[in-house]
Amino acid sequence: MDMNRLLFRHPEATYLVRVSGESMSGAEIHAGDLLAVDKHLMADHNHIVIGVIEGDCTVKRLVRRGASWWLQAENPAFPDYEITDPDQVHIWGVVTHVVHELIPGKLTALLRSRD
Amino acid sequence: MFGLVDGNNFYVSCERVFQPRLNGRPVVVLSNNDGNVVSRSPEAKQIGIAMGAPYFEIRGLLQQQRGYALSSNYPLYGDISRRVMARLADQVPAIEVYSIDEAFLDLHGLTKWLGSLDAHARRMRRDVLACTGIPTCVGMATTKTLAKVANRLAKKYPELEGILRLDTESRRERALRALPAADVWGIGRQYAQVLTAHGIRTAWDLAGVGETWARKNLGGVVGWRLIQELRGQPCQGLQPSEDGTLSRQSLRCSRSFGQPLTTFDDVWGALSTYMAKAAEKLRTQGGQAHLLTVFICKSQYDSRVRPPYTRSTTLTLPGGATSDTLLLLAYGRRLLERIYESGHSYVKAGVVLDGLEPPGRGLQLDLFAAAGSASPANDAKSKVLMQTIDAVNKQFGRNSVRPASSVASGNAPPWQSKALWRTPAYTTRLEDLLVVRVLLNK
Repeated sequence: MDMNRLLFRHPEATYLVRVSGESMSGAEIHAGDLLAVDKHLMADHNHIVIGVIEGDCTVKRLVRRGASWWLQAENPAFPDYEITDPDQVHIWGVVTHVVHELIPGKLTALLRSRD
Repeated sequence: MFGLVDGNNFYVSCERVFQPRLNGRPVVVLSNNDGNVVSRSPEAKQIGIAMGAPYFEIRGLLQQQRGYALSSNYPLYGDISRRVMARLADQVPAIEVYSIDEAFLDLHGLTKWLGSLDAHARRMRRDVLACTGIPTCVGMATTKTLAKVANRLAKKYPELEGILRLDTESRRERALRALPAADVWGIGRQYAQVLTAHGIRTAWDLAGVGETWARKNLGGVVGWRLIQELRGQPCQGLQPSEDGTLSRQSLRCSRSFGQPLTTFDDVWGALSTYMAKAAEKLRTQGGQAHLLTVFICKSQYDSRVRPPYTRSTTLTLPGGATSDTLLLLAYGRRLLERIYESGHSYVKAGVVLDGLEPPGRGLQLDLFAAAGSASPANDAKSKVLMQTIDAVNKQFGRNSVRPASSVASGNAPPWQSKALWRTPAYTTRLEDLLVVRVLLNK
């Protein structure tokens, strides 16, 4: 069974990235997890996205509140970020899957060695 | 209609996908060993950095303009290329992958289904950009050579928005008049000189030469075909590969050394490393080679050395086509002995395997063959040995089994190249994946 074909709607447009730092507990995303990111999907309200702010990549939930769009951290410790100008944030891709290790393995080892 | 799609400053574009901070800045990617500029962003072009410029000449300018120089990262470019080609292959009946960042498309008979080809080309560009982050240009015309012309102009003139289709006589004429003859696909440096000498300046002038003249001055029938293609008469079809990958007509492995090498053993060490690599590639694509070329280069930037800087020699393999590393090494060493001059320092070496064909076809049975030369028995033995070596290297890591001549004393072999500013293999190594954070600027 090929996980790529099985899970990903657009395998050629899907990239894996690694989460570091804090967790997004509200979205079940934890430090060390792998995220599958689809660049083909159009980002919409309530999607978890990879956003580029001032050249840095960050994972956030994209939400619309009335007429304005926000990047929300899904972690009460961090403030939300309002997108006031479309040029200020580039949506790199939409997160479609989370790979989380339940038994410490390669990802956990990598997290310990790097972060 | 044929189409030609290529990635705009492909290597730089690949780097920018994973490092958004490089956007808007002058960025160059350097060749192996951080030698010369092989890809540059429009911003780098604008500040006057030439393609092929040696890094040491542009370092100051780049720093002053707050630009970036990166070492080439082929695992990344290869993976992005695969994705780009897969997206293209999804949207047309057939593609021919022409190089890492270029593909010819078969667009015949599509208007019936798609309406306008321009609209379809725009969709493809949008799709490739969305899925991979790579901006592209599309040229379309009735021949492959004209599709190349259209592509070049689409890239040169931003107002075309990345697409040019040469569908009428007047458009063809305008395009050919706008392109220098030297920029036509298939016109190398040598032919360009011939053209200049004969007052042929534009591609339009070139399309007007006669058959006799073309055959005499542009390499026979190949040159005449080129002229016909410029006139809109297709002479070349699409050569799609079955697996969508680039199946090579010749296979090359060459590198610049990390430092100049001055002894035969060191140069041979480097060369045998490249030969083993090339032979392994050859076996991976299931082929055998008839011709073996070896070349070595002295520094062009050393004023004490006079040209020729590169010496090469080619051998038609006496035992017929082979992919046996040991056999190739034995011949390769003899070839190197022929061209190596002691007392010089060398900066680069390489090997080219040509005349490729699938195994089995090339073996000539020699009635008087001595033991050790090509024979069905030896051929079978060599096949098993090579399969074993490839399997061991696959399981235990590259270079687990390698030619003894490529093992250097000390830590790193002196020919190992420099890549001081290489970005991670973002898409092919777990350790190198892009890292995203929940919080920025803690």
